Amino acid sequence: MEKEYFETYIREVTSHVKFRFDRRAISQELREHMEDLYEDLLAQDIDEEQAAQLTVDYMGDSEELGKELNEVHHPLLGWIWLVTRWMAGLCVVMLVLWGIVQGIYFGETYFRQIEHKSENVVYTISPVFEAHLYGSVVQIEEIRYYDDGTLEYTYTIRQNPWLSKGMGRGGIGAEIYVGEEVCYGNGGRFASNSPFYEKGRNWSYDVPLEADRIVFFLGYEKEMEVSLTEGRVMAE
Amino acid sequence: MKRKKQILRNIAVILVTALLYLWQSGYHLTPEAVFRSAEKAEWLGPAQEVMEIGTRDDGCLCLVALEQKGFYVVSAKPSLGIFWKYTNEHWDGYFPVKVKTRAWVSEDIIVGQTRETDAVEVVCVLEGWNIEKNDWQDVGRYTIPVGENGFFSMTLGSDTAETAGTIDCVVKEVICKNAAGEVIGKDSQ
Repeated sequence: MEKEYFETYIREVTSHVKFRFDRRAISQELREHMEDLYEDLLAQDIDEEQAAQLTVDYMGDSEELGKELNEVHHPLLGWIWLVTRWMAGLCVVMLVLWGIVQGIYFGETYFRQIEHKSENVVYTISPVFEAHLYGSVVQIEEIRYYDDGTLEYTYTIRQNPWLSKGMGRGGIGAEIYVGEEVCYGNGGRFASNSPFYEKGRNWSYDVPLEADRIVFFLGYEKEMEVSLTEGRVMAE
Repeated sequence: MKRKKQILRNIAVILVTALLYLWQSGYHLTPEAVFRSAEKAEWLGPAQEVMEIGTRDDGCLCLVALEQKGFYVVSAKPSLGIFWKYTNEHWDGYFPVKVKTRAWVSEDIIVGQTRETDAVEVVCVLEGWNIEKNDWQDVGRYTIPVGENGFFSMTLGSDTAETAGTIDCVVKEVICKNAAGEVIGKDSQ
């Protein structure tokens, strides 16, 4: 019986709230409040029907309350709130997905172990150098020379994260010299890329043991020359 | 009040996402910012001065900066009314000047640099391939003032080659002249 009283009153109140998306929440709040009042009245030994009637009376004029609630739950503000909430929710989902994808790419590259050749190492040179360029930091980590005449170097490139998508250099090149002669030969490269970080290994075959320097090309204009005779650590 | 605060918070989240999207998609507020981004990406610069050398037919602004051994050209495309975006739709990039004077036709713009210190102007002789004659044919001679830094440029019409009856247009020769009008250097390509 008291439910009918309450629901009628609630319907009358919420009929004045123009922003219909808030009606359910307002109804729920009013219902809880009225039930609390009703329980209090029952505890004071007032019979059920009278308690229900008193509860509705305590709540005040339904039209007045409805109009007040309509002011607080203004439809314009309500719509702005609702639309921005949906959009912000979508944005959060997109940001989280973007972060996960970038994180996976980055982690996959960062934690990847660069595998070396299985041949016997003759000498290694490390660390080689770190070059701070305008938008990136290039590090040549190690040079290895193998007994089959292969010379390889491993590198990392930390790219400026503020670069636009689709931009940025990938990989580096080098020339190996014996005196003034360039060692031309076959080789290969392996690189693992992420948007902000690259790790790789380049190698050249048929490099003579006497090769005395390697010139790294960092972009169009910058070259770094590294001696292959200094800092060698010979394998045992 | 609580609702107003939530609206502000929601708008902040939307703005952050929009900015992230614009950054990731290469939108910038100025053409120079586009150039700086391209410069960083190519491990060049930072150049002290970025020069605007002309607008291409599609509205892309052509920017250039001198490097130690050449110069670097970037096209910035106007986008969404207030933004500029990097575009690789044009023949841009790094132009190495390994000799004293060198020039190129970058689609519809002549770009070049000379290290002749007394040069005040250059005459660029352009030629193109005439498909009917099956031979090279002169397209025109263009006199271009040289800047203090040795750089020179001139915007051509996009129909220059077509008007001359050729299918393309390249630099055949660059003639450097001093203030007295004397020829002080030549570069034949």
